[in-house]
Order: sequence, then C-alpha cells, then structure tokens
Amino acid sequence: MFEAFVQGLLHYTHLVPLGFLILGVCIGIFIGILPAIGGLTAMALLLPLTFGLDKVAGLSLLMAITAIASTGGSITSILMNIPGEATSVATMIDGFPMTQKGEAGRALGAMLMAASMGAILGVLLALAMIPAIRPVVMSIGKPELCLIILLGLSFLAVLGRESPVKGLISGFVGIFISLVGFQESTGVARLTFGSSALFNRLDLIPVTMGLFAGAELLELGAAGESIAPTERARPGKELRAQIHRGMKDVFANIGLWFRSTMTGYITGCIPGIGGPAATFVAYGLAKQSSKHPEKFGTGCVEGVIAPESASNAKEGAALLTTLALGLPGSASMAFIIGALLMHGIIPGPAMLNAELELSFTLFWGLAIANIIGGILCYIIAGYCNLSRIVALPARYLVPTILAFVYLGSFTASEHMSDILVTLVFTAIGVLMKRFGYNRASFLLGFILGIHFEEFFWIALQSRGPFFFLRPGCLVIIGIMIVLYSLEPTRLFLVRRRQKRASA
Amino acid sequence: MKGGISILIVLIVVAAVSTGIAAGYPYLQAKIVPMLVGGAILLLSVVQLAKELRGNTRSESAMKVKAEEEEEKRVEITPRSFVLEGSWMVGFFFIIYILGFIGGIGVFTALYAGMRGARWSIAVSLGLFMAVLSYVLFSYAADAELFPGIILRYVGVTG
Repeated sequence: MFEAFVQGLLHYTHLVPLGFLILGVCIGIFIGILPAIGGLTAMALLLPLTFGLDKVAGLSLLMAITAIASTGGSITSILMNIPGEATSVATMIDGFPMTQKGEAGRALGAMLMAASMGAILGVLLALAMIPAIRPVVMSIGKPELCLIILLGLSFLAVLGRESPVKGLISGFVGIFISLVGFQESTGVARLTFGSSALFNRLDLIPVTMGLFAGAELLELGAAGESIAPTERARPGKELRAQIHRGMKDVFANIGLWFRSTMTGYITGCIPGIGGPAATFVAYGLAKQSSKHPEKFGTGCVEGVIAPESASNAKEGAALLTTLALGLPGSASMAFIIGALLMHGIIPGPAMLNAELELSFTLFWGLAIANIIGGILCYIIAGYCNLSRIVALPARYLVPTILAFVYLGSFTASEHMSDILVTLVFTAIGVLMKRFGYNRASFLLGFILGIHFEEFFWIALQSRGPFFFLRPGCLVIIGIMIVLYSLEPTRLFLVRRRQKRASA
Repeated sequence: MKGGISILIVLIVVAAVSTGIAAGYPYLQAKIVPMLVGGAILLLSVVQLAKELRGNTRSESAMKVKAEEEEEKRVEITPRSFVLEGSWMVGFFFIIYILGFIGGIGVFTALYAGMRGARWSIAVSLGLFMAVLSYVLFSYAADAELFPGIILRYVGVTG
C-alpha cells in the first residue's frame, strides 16, 4: 500500500500529468470566476477530450477543475455577490458584506487560506480513512438522508439573522418550488399551470442568478453607487496586506477551521448531499459556536472561513466515496466516474485493490491542484487587484455584470424564458431581502428539494410511515430538538439573569 | 411592517391554493411531499402572521436590531428608483429579444452607462468591449448557441 501511495505522488513529477493538472487549475479558476458557467459545464466540455489522453493526465485535468472551480467561484461571491458555484453561496453571506465594508482583500485571503488548508486536510483524512469508509457510509440510509436535509434547513432557519419561522418558511418555499414541473416517475406535471416553461423544472442557475445577483444589482443600480467606494484608492500593497491579514485570521481561528473542515469532510462522505449542504452546515455550526453570533451576516471573517474550509474538504471525502463505493459524492464526481468508465476502470470496492495506485494518484492530484490553485488565486487576487472591480461606479458595473447574469441564465438551457425566470426571482430576492426572509435557506431548499422528495418516498415505501424511528434518524431529530431549543433557552437565561440583577 | 403582513397573506393564499391543487394529483407519490411541504408553509405563515399582528418579533435580540439598522439604510433607496432600475432590467431582456445577445449587450451597456452619466465615448467603447467579450467567451470559446434576436431570426440567421 505504501508503495502505491508514493507511486501516486511520483506521477506528478512527470511533465505531462503535472501539465494537465496545471491546465485544469487554470481552466477551473477562469470558469469559477465567470459567473454561472461553472465547473460542471467545463467538465462536461472536457470529458470527451480525456478519452484521447493517458488516464492519469485526463483524470488529473478533471480532478483539478473539481478541486479549484469552487475557489474561483468564491472570488466572485466575495467581490460581486455572484456565486460562481453553488458551493460559493454560503461564502457570500459574509464575504460580500466584508467587501462592502472595504475588507475585500481580507475576505479573499481568509477564503484562499481556509480553502487550501481545508482541501489538504480533507485529502489526508480521506487517505487515512480508506480502510474504514465502507461500513460507515453504507449505514446511512434514505430515512437519514431525508432528515439530514431537514437538519440543514433547520441550521439555516435557527441560526439565520432573520426569525426562525421566516427561515423555515423560506426553506420550505424553496423545496416547494423545486417540485414544480414534470415528475418522471409518475408522469404528473405539477403546478405548471399549463406553461411549457415550467414543465422541465426550474433550473438552478436562473433561480440563483435572480435571487442573489439580480437582487443585488437592482439595489446597486437603484442606489447608484459602487459596491464599496472605500476600495477606490486602495493600492496593491495595502490590498496584499489585507490578504495577508485574512490568511492570518485562519490561524487565529484554527479551531473553527478544523471543526468546519471536519464538518465538510463528514458531509462530503454522504453521497447525494453535495457541497452546498456541507458549506451551510459548517456556516451554521460556526455561528452557533461563535462568541458573537450577531456579527454573522454583517461581514464577519469567521463566516468566510467556515464554508470555505468545508467546501474544499468535502472533495476529498467525495472522491473517497466515489472510488470506494462507486457512488458520486458530488455532482462533479459523476464526471470522474464517467472518465474512469471511459478508460475501462469501474469504480467501487474492487478499485481500491486493483487500481490502488491510480486511486492515490487522484487523491494527490486533488491536494496538489489545491496548492497550485491557492497560489494562482493569490496572485490573481493580490496582483491583478480584482477587488478594484467593486470600486467601479454602478453605471459601469450594473450593465456588465447584468450581461453575464443574463448570458449565464440563458446558457443553462438555451431558453429565453430562463431570463424571465431570473427576472421573477430578482423581484422575489429583493422582497425577501427587504422583508427579512432567508435567501440562503430558500436556495438550500430549492437545491435539495428533489432529493428530499426522492429520499422521503423511498423511506416511506421501504420502512413505512414510522421510518424516522431508526436510531440514526433519532440522533438527527435529537440534534434538531437541541437546535430549536437553543434560542428560547438563551432568552430564558438572559431574562433570568436580568431579573436577578434587578432584584 | 404592513408590507410584511401583505406578503404573508399572499403566501398563505398561494400555499393554500397550491396544496389544494397538489391534493388532486392522481398518485400518492406525486402529491404527498407537495402536500406536506405546502401544509408546513401554510402553518408557519399563519404563525408568523399572528406574530407580526401581535408585534411579537425578536426585536429584543441584537440580531434583529442589526437587521433593522440595515433596513433603515435600505429605506434610503426610493421605490421610484427600484421601479426605474427594474425597468432597465426588463428593458434589457427586450433589447436582447429584438437584437440578440451580442448586439443587445453592446447597445444596453452603452445606453445604460451613457444615460447614467458616463461620457458617451466611454459608454460606447464599453458597449463594444462587452459585445466582443460576450462573443469570444460564449459563442466562440464555449460554443454556446446564443439567441440571435428576432430581427436576425426573421432574415434567416438561427444563432
């Protein structure tokens, strides 16, 4: 095993695999920075190309895109409130307010350091866990998966800045909207009201674009200012000082980084849950354990460190379940399975015996891509001074970003109606923001709604209406009860302390 | 607060109607989750409405105070500015629909920047740059079939 471990690393001392890894990193950053195009689109475009390449080179190319696209996407989340990737949405909650406060460099620094370190620890944990993974993952059934989604929504609702009831309403509305459209298994068109545009279900990209980017652009244009006027006169040296400060923040919050990395890693082990849930759960836990939870959502560096650590740590875990069980741990891992099958390799328990060296190569590729990507992102953020973008007046920013928003919405499925969807969700986003509803909770519900329905139905069919009485489910329900009792307990204690003080 | 109550009333009506529609679906598999989720929205909206009518929100918590402070900041943006900005966004959609993506992006960018106070030379240059950038990134590099607009479609260009 040790020999395969070392041989896996040695592959990257050769020019061809290393070259394709670096190419993948560059493509991943570029695609990640461009709003809405996304790493999955890039992987879909490049998948046929890997067939003609050596398997290590081809898989390295895809692995690098997987590793780094979310980091690139977080740059636009922080600077422009536009998530380049779904995993970058949680970073936006505090990253963008930091930019508005003139701390874009600090947010970028914290993001880069947390993401790179999280990824490396995620890979190391995955390597260490190879022998133990199978029984752990196989014990998680559909009932538990169903409740894990509700747990994710509960975290957002209870720990959000808005009232918990509004947070839950937002999450459930997100689930409800994800159900609109044709249901393949029954052939029923649900809540389409005869519209063909709604028949194929709403695509994630136009919804996200409207809810976040569209709503922010509408406010930005209406206010007529730049995103952060304080960034205007910031010289490169000062920006790099901010980036370094953000990097140091990760070490100052090393406990938080470790907890978030572990959260991301554990969530990443569960097939089908995916990155957004990992980032939101890590964000929620960070807020819960913080000494100043009220600062979350207003531009708090911990709110950037937590989701970024989790986001990149989960890829190591997702790769482990992909290789060990043949179950894609995330959407991008489905492409890795596709590439493996194209090279005649069947992922699953047998792969860890027959292709152990290749398995280690992929893990090393993930780690090295994160290191190279982190350095490249640092150069781009610190020397190309991307944060100057946010100091541009609204008259230049709004039309240019809006063009990318519409292009991104359209290219998702090449329907003009998707731009109308974006416009509708822009209005919904503005209303939600102004009346204190939780947009992140809505989005999580929307992303996981279909999985929730699928898991719920399978659990109901296989275990009956009391499926939630399984031990794993009871543990999750217990966590939810603790979560919902936190705020009332805190208020009760505060009132009692006040009464004692006044008595 | 009035706006918040109106939104909740709309939400209650929409949730009730949607849950009612879902209840009419022929298979249990198709209707069970929409009914449960719709019912949960309905129940939670009623609870929130009752809270808002009683004025019993978590205003005592520091989190809410922060949110209210931000709300005050946002009040500075007048509804008229929102409508105007929204009209630009809707207008952009129609420009794309007529001229297609490449032409539409160029024209909209130049018009928006120019009419918002930028020098026309800069506005037009930015429009041209955006049109070229959109073409290079999406049409050329990503090989996406961008909508050509109804004018070009009328003369036979498909995209």
